[in-house]
Amino acid sequence: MQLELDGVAVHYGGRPVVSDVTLTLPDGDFGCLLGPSGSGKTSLLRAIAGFVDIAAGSIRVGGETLSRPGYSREPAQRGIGMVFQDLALLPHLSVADNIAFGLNRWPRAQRRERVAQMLALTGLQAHADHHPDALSGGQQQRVALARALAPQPRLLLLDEPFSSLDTALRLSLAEQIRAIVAETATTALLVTHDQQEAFALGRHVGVVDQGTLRQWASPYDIYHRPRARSVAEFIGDGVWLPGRVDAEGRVHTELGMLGPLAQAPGSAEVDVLIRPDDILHDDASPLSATICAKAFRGAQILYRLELPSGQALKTLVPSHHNHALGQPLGIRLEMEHVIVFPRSAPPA
Amino acid sequence: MALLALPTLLPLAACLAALGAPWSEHWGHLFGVVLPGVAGNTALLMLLVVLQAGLLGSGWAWLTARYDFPGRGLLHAALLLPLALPGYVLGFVAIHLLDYAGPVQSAWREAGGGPQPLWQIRSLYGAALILGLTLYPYVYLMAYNAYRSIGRNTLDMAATLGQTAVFRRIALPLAAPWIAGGLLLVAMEVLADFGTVALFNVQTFTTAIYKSWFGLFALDAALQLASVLVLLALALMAVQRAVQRRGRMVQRGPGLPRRRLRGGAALAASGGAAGFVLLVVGLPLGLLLRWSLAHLSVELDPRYLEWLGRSLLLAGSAAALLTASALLAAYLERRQPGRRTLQLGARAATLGYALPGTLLAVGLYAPLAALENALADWVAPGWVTQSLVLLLLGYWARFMAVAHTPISQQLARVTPSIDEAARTLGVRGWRLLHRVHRPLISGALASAAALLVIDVIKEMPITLMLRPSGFDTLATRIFELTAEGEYERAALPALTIVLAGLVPVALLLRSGHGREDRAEPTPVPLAGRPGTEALHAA
Amino acid sequence: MPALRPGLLLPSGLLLLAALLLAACGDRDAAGEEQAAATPPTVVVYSARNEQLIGPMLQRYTELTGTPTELVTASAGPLLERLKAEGENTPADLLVTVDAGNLWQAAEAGLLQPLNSQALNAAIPEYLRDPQGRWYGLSVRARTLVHHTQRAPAASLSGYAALAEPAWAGRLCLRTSRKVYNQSLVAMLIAERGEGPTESIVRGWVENLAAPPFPNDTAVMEAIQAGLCDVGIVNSYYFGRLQRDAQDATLALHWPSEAVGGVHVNVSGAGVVKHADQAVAARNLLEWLASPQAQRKFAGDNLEYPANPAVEAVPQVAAWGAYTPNLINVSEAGRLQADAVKLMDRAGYR
Repeated sequence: MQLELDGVAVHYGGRPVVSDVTLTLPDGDFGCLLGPSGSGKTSLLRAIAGFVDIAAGSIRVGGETLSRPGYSREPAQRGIGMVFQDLALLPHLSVADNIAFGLNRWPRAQRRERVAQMLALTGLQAHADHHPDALSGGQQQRVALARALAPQPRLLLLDEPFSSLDTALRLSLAEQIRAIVAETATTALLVTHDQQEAFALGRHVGVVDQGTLRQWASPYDIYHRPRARSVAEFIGDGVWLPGRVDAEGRVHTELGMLGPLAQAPGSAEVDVLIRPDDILHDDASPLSATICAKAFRGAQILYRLELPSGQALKTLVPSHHNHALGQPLGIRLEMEHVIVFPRSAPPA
Repeated sequence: MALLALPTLLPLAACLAALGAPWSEHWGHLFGVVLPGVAGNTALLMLLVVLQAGLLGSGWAWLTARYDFPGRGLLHAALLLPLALPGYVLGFVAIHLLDYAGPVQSAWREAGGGPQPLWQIRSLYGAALILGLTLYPYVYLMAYNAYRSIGRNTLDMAATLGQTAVFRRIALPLAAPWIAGGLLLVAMEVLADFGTVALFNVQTFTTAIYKSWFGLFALDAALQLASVLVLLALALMAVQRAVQRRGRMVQRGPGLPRRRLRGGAALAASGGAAGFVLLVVGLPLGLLLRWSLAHLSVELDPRYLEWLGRSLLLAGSAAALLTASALLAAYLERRQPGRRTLQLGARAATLGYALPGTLLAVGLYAPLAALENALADWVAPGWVTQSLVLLLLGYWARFMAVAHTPISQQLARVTPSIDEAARTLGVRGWRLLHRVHRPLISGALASAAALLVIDVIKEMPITLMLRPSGFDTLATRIFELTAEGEYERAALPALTIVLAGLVPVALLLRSGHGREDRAEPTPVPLAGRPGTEALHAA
Repeated sequence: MPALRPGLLLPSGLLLLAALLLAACGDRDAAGEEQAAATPPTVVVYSARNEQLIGPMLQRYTELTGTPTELVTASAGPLLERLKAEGENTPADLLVTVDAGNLWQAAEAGLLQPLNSQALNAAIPEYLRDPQGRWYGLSVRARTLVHHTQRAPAASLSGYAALAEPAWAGRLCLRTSRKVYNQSLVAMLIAERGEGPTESIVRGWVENLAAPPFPNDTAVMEAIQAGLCDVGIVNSYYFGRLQRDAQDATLALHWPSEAVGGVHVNVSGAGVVKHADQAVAARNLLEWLASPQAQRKFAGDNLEYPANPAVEAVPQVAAWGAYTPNLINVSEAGRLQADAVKLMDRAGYR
């Protein structure tokens, strides 16, 4: 069901850890909250689950208010399922009993049927009688998911569920889990610090930084239309290129003129976000920069470049263009989205 | 490893050899008349004590581990205090207060309650009550540490799934392997106890063993009965291992949050725990103090300091010797993990814990004295039998489990990769032990040593039997006084033993068991109750 | 780890241990040197009689004769096993126990040597010593009836057997059968009356019990005082101790008359260890313990009766009046002890 947060604030011991978070996750969608550790994203998740009271705003699921200042519905009454970072599987119960853990008020026959359904859904039929410690990491993950989904929650919360797995397993498992969640048509919100994971899973991605939601949008918009400097910095790779906005809204930089901008940035002195894919290798270009460092990435090479002014740049170049360190590299700027922010702080 | 178990194996071998020997002439009588009652009593007693210790231990531990209320820290410590209280002392106090002639029932009669006894404290149920009250701290310690290591996420998970029976559905099952470990200790203590059951006149395997030995003068029959005890202990250990194999929890993430109790609930928690401790520990200590003061002029002679000094000396040296040997053995085990002989040796060393002290003493004394006799031409007379070596071997046989279990379990957690990591950083040899191992295992070493000190100070039959001539201690003093029924005069040495035992309990708390940080539950040593077997309650 | 520093604990413990062993050795070396010198040799006493009862006696003996003594106390069973194990190399010279049964066992196991001492034979009546002279009773412990003077007047009492009669149903308190005193009493009853009659008596007792058997004699008397029962069987000196602590006229001892077999007595006594290094010195000590100058204190300190009939009991004990002892040799208590234990087991006397 649809999740709506409206101006939510969470305090710990009087200290605000989350403030003014507003977002809507439509029914059946998969959303991701992305942020560095300590950004407040887990606190927000725990507020949604009902473990933490909120200091301001409201939390609604399916139009029903679950939390507002001075009121918090018991976690048990919220109809929210949760997959925890450490999975919190019960070692003394079998896989089937773990899955049935939240079904203790169901009639026996229905409970058995539901467990069988969940086992089938997660592909764990063969392990129904095993204990969790006999399973692989990925299987344990699926047990935790099946257990959370078994009581047919209105909303599923996932708290960094893949953090203990290795990278290779992580993405394939993320894919499986998205498929399982999609099959049950459950609305899901996942918290992670891994942008690949967030982009792979979320139809909506929110970037949380220092307790506030900087942006809540599609992965494409987050990457290409960041609305805050911190979002731009946290997502993807890039450098800041100083520029100056003229009266027509065009930006003059060391690499030439960009724009015009659709919206005035509010300051003449700006920083332009230059992603590695915005800079193309072009031997014919009049512009060139010295290669300071390079990282071979299989199909591509990431070059770190330095302009004569000392400005740093990065570019991704097909890997057959193999140039030596210290050589000049012809480059050309080609930008679809010009992202500028007023120059307030020194560039990252 | 065989070395570790040797002092225990000697008496064990004596028991098992007795099984192979021809049946004692008294066996028909024992089997037909004595055993049926004794087996039933032992089983019922064990069941009741295990139930009571399980309820008290896991219940109080849940209160102090899960909730916050005024005085929680202090009460947590106080709930461990019965550890220092010998069962026969609490038993004597209970009988004094609650028997027909005691103040409670006398007051009832004076208030016009009629001449019928209100209850019969000197019964199997009374003995079970007292044993449960003095033994539950083992379960409490284990359960507390297990509860504290339950992750917050597990509780939250239960909450999201609508499970409100957290204690029954989450805490108890997760802590079960540890609680079972505590209950095993309790059950083995019940098997080995003589002092308390003798006081309450309950006939169990130990009293049957004593009667066979001292009444029928049939040491062979006594050893045969003892071998049954050994088999029972083995069965108990098997049960406990089966429970322990079942899902051990390893929980990550934040630890168990404490729930703050307010108002009436807080009052009930603080008041209930304080009242319980005052009743079980405060009241007996008060009575002991009163009797001590009444007999102070008679009892407090200059030798008193000497007895205290010797008790402390014995306790200190036994604690040092046993922890050192257990540490050595644990390193051997670590170097050759999975070696069958090592495991068997460790298990055999643990068995001494379920055997009555007197039997261990004789089983140790007889072969060593024979050896000394055989070597009489070459060695000075009494070099074993008249030195503290023999006494320390006796403690070794009885209490090695107390040292070995926690130390080997803790050392097992210092994984080889920790060593390797240290080596790559250039830390090797003694520096590795000092900088890496010592901080990791010092907690287990300290708590083992602390419990050993408590145990040895209280130990009576082995001390009596194996000490060099005239080497009197506080425990032997209690024996002297109680042998002819001078219980109240024994209050001063008993009080001193209890107070001396409180110091290690305090250290135990500071050294890790009561600490608030969260790790996997610290293994609690198999700890001994006082060997009160020779207490002349009979 | 603020409190205990295992890093220090271990080495310091080992040091302590070494020091202890050295100290223990040192003691013995000193003893050996003493022996080498002309001082009288030390008599080593193994005692199951309390340190506070036997210790002062030995001290006085050393003061009188200059003979040093060394005392090892433990309960009788372990002491006998220890003697057996030590065999020829035992350091023990004299064995003291508190029950004839234990002495009988020691003699039976060949741990004691016959003395045939004129002095001892003259001092100790025949029924209080081993017929072969291997041990001698030193103090007499009368196990007799104690009763409430109003609820069970002396006139209603006769002997041990009468307590099995239905008249005493729910009025009898006894100590546990695990105590050797009761085992000896029943053994002496067997010697006196035979096994069958004794078993009916014991069964009768069990039926008449007002409460499960008590852990000690004092508790039996307290139960009578409290009104739980009217009569019990105790060693007289426990009654003496109770009297000393609190004068109470409601309790009194009753002596079974000669007509019903007299009073069954037991002894605490001693014998010279077979492999004693200092057999002569040990015999001298034993003879002194049986002599009039030692007897009064030996028995009196524990409110027992002197075994030597030439010595009077202390006034408090004498005040309980004269009794007629049953004259069956107390060694029967040892010979029949196992039978007595089995009989009590069968009769359900716990």
